[in-house]
Amino acid sequence: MTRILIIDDSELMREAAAIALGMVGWEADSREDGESGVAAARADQPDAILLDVLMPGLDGPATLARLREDPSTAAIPVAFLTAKGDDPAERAALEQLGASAVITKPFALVELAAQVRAAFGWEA
Amino acid sequence: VSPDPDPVAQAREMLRAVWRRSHENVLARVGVVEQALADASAGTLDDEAREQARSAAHQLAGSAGTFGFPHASALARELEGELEGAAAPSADELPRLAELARTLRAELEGEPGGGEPDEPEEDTEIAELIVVGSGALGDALAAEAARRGLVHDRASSAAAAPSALERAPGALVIVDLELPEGAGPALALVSDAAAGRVVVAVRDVAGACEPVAVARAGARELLERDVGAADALDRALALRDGGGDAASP
Repeated sequence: MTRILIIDDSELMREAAAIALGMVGWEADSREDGESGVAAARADQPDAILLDVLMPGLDGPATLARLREDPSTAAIPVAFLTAKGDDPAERAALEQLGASAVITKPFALVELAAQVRAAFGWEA
Repeated sequence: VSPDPDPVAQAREMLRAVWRRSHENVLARVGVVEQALADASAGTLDDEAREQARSAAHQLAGSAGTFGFPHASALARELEGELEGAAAPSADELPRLAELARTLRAELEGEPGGGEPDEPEEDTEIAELIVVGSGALGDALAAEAARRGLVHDRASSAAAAPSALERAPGALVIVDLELPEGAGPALALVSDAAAGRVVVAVRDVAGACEPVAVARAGARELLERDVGAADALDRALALRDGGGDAASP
């Protein structure tokens, strides 16, 4: 089963993403901040991570840097979740940080899994 | 014995339950924004309160649309933009921002009315135009279509486009080729959309999509993006209505 880790400080978005991914039979785990997200990634080795950009404390870019520094999490594909994904400059800046993709919030319930597949080049 | 529930319907019901459970917190976030604007009007807004209000607006911008309030997301995003930066909103701007906050609250106090981006209401009209584009040109095309009263749908990525195409099999399609996924998926989208539809593509001259490839994918016309939204829409409608010849790249 595909396992996705969602790291987002918004409880609404964590729950919505988990529901959207659960629709296609994926297992979603979530954390509300970067620190606990990095720990969960180390411990659970998810297939991919959806990572919010703006979070208190360790934000998305800093969390991604932590994940990439650690050999146990460096290869886990990460997509940023951002409300500013329609801004080409914001998107380009995030992609330069080494994320596999940028997914725009708000997302559509029935489209999130397809967006994740597209982001990581996964077959449907 | 009741039939197995539709997983999509089941998921939407779960989403509605999350919304109902979180509604009070959602409105509290609007309250944080309202209070910050009131403080700004009184000249007492400090940086900490402004940051809290920006954060509240940011969370609303990111989430409301997924729960069926796409317009509320747009309003919250505008408020977020006004609350970030080095200085508090100017006095001239405050009445407009207060009005935005009032509208935001009114929308979020109601039932989901805009529908999720993927959830057309039962009586939703079928789109006659689909705009595929993630940036300013996509925004401008959608706004121009709305101004002209065209029933339209919008997808901000190649991944999001298939569901819009499925909902409106005969729609005119305008694709901004500078999609987040890159040139390959953009051309594949043009190819898929061109089956039974008129497709107009718009490219950046510095972009990765070659005109010959766009034509081979089935686009009826390739425009340069500096053409502007109104002219691009004029050209696409003329092609759809038979008033324009297909241009060779």
